[in-house]
Amino acid sequence: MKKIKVSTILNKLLSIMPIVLLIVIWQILATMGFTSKLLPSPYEIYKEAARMFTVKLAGISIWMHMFYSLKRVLIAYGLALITGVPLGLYMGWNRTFDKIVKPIFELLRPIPPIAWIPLAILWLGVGEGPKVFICFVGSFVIFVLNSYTGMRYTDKLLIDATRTYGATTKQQFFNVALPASLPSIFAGVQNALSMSWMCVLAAEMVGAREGVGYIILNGMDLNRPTMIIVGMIIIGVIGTILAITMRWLERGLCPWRRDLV
Amino acid sequence: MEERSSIKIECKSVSKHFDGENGRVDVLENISLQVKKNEFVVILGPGQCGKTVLINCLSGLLTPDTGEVLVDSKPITGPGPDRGVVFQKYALFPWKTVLGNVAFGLMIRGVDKAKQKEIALKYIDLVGLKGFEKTYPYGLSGGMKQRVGIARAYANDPEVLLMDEPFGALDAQTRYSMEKELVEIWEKEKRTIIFVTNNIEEAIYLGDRVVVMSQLPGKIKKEFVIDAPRPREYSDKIFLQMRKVISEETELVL
Amino acid sequence: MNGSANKLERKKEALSVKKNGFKEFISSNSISFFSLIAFFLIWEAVCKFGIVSPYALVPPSEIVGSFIYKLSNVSPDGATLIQHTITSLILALTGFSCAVIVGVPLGLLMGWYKPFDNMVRPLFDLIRPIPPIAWIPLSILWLGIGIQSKAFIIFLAAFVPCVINSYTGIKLTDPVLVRVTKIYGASNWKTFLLIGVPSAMPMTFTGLKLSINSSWTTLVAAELLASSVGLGYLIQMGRRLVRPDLIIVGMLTIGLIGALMSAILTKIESKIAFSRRL
Repeated sequence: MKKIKVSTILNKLLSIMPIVLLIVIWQILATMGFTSKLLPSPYEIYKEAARMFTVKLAGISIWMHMFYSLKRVLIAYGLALITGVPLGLYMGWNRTFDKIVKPIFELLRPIPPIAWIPLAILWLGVGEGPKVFICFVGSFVIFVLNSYTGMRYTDKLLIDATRTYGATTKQQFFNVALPASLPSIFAGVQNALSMSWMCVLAAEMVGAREGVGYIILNGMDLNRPTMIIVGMIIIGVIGTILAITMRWLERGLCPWRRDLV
Repeated sequence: MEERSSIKIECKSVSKHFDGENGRVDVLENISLQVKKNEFVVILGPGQCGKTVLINCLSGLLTPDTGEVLVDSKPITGPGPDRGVVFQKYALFPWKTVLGNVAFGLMIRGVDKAKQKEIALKYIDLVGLKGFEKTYPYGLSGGMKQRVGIARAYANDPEVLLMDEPFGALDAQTRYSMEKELVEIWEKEKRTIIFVTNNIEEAIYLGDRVVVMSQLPGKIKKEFVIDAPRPREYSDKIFLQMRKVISEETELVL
Repeated sequence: MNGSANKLERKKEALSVKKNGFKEFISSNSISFFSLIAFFLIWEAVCKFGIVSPYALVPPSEIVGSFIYKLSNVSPDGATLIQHTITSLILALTGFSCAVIVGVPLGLLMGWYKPFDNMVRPLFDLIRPIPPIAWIPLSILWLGIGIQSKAFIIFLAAFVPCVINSYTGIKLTDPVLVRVTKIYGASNWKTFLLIGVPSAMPMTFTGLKLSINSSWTTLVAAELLASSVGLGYLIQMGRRLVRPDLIIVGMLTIGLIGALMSAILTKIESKIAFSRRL
């Protein structure tokens, strides 16, 4: 048992090697004066991070900024989930409903969520509204598409099997079609979250006074690349945490999916 | 007449066609079949002869173009719990455990939970899967999955069991043992069974009666009664005899 | 003699099936058709009856008018719709092509040669979680507000899906095929070219579609933030001038072009990838 542990630790170390090497070389070059102000050294980035976590930016702490962004993402995401999934599922289940809704959906779908920003600001002003709206649009589309696909591509054999047990249409939908669509819905759940995260950034960069998008934009206005880079790292970290949480949730809620193990 | 009243399921002049890219394909042509209560009938035919379509018509998943299917002399109106189906591809619900799968039909019918569990456990034991109640289908071998399929169909207490090449996807060894087990289960709990296969040995081993179908368009070529006591052995004389008879009388190459 | 009569019968039947099929197509899709018409009519009515302010939404009839007008007129934002579209397209396609040329081979090589993968992967994994949009401020600081910074960001946006999908694609190569080629004496490099690369094509094409979608979206974002021409700029201008018709014309054009590019890629894929399906 101990042997296995050592080799996995070694493997993990080996994989971080190139990054560590890169950071070290980068720092050496910086100390020797080979980089300009535009590409700060790892040490300077670290210093800036320490600073940012102790002072207030635009009146609030950096944690509050993160909270604002997350709040917007999660509200929009939640709304999109409870509207998009049932819509997609029903569209996949009922052909007639599908035919009615499809053309309108296909008209609006190719428009990237970011392109909705100007219209959203026009309609909802410059508050939380447009930001939540954009994130909503982005995740809504993904939820509908994934739920629809999951429902449509449910193995017909399973539905046939249910019918031989005398199940009513309602029973077929809830007992078989829905669980069978879950894997696809979950794929959508993950994608929608990353999309929502990206959208909040864009919305915040266009016009906000708080949020991680605001931080990196502020860094640009203040001509502080260190600030931008710290902001980018925070964005990447939060994004990764969200993704890992989602994968973990799926593993817990779908214990029969061996390909996730 | 005594004969008439003991017919459990029958189809009269059933025909079915499909419209494909190359035009119309007649799959079943004028099929008439009568199966008595608790009879074990095997439908034997080469690949692509419409056997699955016939089973689907009998189960009610497909509606025939002409003719009708009757259970207890009453025409059917669609699939129902009185006709259980065992599928070649198992059709197990991957998100349910073995227990959940076997109890499925009971759950649909609204049987109370405790009773569901009791009945399901009984049939899981009957098919020899005791101990696997909490396993998910992905953790089961092909033979085990099909046993779940059989248990699930049986647990719902259908009057007729329709089995569509249930052992077709299994390797030879598993197939032999499944055939043996099926006969044992059937002897313990007698049901009317219509079993579809393309394997002649399987047909002779299992059936009271073997109905041979032709190639497309599927017609009934001939019926043979297998008059041999069970349990049968593959080395019995009857196998060689029937093989000869069936290959002479039909176009099946054996 | 009986046979030929039967054949004729069958041919007649097949034809009637085709005809019926067409009729069925029209009747089954008419619901969608009418639904769309209803949508536009409701939209038109909502605007015409003043239910929403004309500063928020304009009826479809006016949008058509604005669309036609913008095709050849530069006011009020400084360029015609066609100019905006071309500018945006050129930028997106340039960034996309560079990303494909660099990203796809990279992904393929990473997927095939383990040591290369071990070297490059950690660095790639570091860049991946950062959304391309988040690079915009840094890119502007480094390269200014011009074409270079936009091209850089689009490159980043397009790069990641290309690498990931070609990597996944080549990893899915059937090991049996690889063994067979090796038995015939082919070198690892030859096997890579003859078996690995073609196997990876379907997934790679999916990656290309994701990539072009990403490029297009990121471009719009970049143009929204810092540009003086392009479709992103157009819709931003529409907001500043309180011209929802301009915004919607821009949005629909963006959507249309995006959908077109995806469709073209799908067409190309069906011509190339499937004929080489292993």
